[in-house]
Amino acid sequence: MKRRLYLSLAAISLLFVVAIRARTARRPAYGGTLRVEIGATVNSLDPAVGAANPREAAAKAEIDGLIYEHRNPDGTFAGMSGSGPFRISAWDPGKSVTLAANDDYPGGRPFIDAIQIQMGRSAHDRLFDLEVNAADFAEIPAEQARQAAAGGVRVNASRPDRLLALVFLAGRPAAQDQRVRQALAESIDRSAIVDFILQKEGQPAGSLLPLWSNGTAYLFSTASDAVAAKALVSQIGGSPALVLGYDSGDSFEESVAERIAVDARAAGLMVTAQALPAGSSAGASGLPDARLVRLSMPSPQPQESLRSFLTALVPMAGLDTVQLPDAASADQIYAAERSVLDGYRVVPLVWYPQVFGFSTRVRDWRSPGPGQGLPFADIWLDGPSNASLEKESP
Amino acid sequence: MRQPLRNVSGSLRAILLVFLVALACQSARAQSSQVPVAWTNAAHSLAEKIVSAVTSAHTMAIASVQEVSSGAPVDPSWLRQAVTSEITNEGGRLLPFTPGSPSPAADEQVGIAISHNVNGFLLVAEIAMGDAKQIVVAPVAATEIAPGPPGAAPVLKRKIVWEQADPILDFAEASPDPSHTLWYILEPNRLSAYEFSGSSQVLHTDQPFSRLYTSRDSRGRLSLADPTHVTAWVAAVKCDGTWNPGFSLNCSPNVGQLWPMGNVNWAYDPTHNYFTGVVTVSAGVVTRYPPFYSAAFPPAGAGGSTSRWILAGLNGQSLLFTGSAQASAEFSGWGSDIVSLNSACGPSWQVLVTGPGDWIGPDRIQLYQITGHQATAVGEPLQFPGPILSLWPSSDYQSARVVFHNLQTGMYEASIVSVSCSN
Repeated sequence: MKRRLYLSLAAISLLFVVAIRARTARRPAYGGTLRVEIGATVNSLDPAVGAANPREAAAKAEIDGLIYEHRNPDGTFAGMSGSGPFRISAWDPGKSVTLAANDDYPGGRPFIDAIQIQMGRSAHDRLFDLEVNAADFAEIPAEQARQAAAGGVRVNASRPDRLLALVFLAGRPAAQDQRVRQALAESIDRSAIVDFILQKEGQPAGSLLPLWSNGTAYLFSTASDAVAAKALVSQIGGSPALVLGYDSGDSFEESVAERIAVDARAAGLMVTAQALPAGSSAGASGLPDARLVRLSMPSPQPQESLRSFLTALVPMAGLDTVQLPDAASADQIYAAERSVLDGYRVVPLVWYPQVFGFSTRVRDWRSPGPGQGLPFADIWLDGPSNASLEKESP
Repeated sequence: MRQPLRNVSGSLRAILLVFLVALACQSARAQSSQVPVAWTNAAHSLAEKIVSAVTSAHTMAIASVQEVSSGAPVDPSWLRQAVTSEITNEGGRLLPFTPGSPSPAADEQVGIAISHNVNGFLLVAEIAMGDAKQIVVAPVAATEIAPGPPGAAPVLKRKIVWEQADPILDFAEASPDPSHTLWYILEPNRLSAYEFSGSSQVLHTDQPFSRLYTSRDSRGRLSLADPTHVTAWVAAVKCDGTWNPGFSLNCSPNVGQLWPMGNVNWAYDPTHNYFTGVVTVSAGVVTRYPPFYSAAFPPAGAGGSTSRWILAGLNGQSLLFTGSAQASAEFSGWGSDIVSLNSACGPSWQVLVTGPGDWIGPDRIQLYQITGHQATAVGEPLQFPGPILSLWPSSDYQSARVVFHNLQTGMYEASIVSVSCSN
């Protein structure tokens, strides 16, 4: 009986999808409100007020990208608030913001009329709301992409443009011996992280940049070598102990840190995973010997992204300054990456994508590339919300 | 006489004029005589770098050639041969390689790979002497992507006539005399005119205009009164371009936002991307239809009536009207752009229709035959590697002007689509 019910529901769903497809036209339609949910809370949209943590800063930058005309090369935004494709029409600090389409935007009025952004929604709540069609758009943690798709959510992943790396922090005595760092790096099973934690929504990383960007990533090994790791540990003598920090508000980092600790123990290293204050900046805490760091590529161009990564990593890991010419060749980019990684102070772990979930009515979505904002001005909503089209033309 | 390819020097935009040519089947890998020059150059550059990196007294062997990234127009065996030849020419001491046998014992082992990064293909060589490794990389200069082969029995034919990086709203070609060709390219905020004589460009002029409205999905249309008089409808303005002797453009607000179609004028909504459905038949005579993206009526050779219309509506349904504002038939599964054709392939009314779907994927044009209240697909659809942004009929309805965004190259391509009856 139940099975028949499920089959009926499946058939109805299929017919619905077919009906939606049959009704859709290619040229974008105007109208409707996009319902967006985000995890971060933004407490001020004033450019003069800094964000409390990196997550708030990232969310604020996404909103700024919608309300300012364009982003400057230095990451700031040009023009006045409201000069972008949207303007703020309602603002409840830390809770929600509503953006209305800017009819006078030089690039053309967006197709949608408004965006309602609910803040502070947990990953679980965002996923649930997408499943029950209470939201149109939300970012999904990469490790939950498969679950979301299984739950019927439309899922779209960018190219892997985010790196999770392990960084040995400058000045920590426990990691001064390169053999300790190398032993830990050799012990990590990156494929297991990709397969079991990321649910295959990512790639093992041996270099700082992914292959699609630098073309040379395959030259860096991603294989684990437990035998070599044990041999190194036996050379060191004793059982080196390390503390590995991760962001306490980040379940993905927590899972990876615990997995690394298990791999390390198998090689004879004592690694303890330790939660750090949520959202703390990469080098903020003084306690751990190493920590997990997430890096986002600001550009598809390898030299630009590598330069950004080096800005973050060199001081954190206490590396010597790496020279990278403005128009660096592929050889020079490879050499720079190699010089950073050879000392095992920075250990790339995995590349993973941005994953987005949508309702069925969101159309013309294109995943933003590295450094690009959310393209809400270019999407449109399919469905019966185009009553405004019946009005007389000007 | 139009040339298949014109190189417009001094222009910021890359402009190509190419004919669709028959090619070898897609799966065939390049033979050495067909290898693009950029790959030969890259192999030469890689060989130079390898020779420079290896001590002159050392012998070397190419231990492996692998494809890290797929899609290259060369295969590993060609690359091995090319690099071998270039290293030898550069004076490198390369030990011979025999297929199926182990790599010869040389001082330095070279592993070569065909890879790809965000900017294109790379040739990468990993030179190993014991535990020491050196990496040298030679980028492959980007090359033009040739159009694909035509179908086995094409009914619809496409001829690519223009390509550029900036969006195109419409385009037109005219020949004031046998030795000159004029090209007009309408963009969202300018009309460009090119004059060609023989194989060379004589003049290129950009005439910007002030838009009264901006739409995120700008649309525009060109019409030629004669080769030297062009009219553009775009963004609530109507612009008249003339040659006297240089090209000049005079724009003014388009009162009523009326765009001509056949013998009537349709009102366009310049802040959006559709026609309002208000049609002015003659002075004071106005009829209202539902809003629509595009319209088609039977041209002279197929019944010649402006009382019969198919309108591609905003909801994805295309409606047939036969003399009244009440639809008499409904066609689903069509895209938002349609045009009529007056082909010689039959007496009935034929319509070209774009495909449904999003602007993030490939598109197609399908020919339909309209008989009574029925629309019947005829032949195979013509595929496009990106969304069709503009579809307008030629003045004689023998062909259609198509602009699409090639998602593989990022370029905007203008094509002429016509129907062949020979097959």
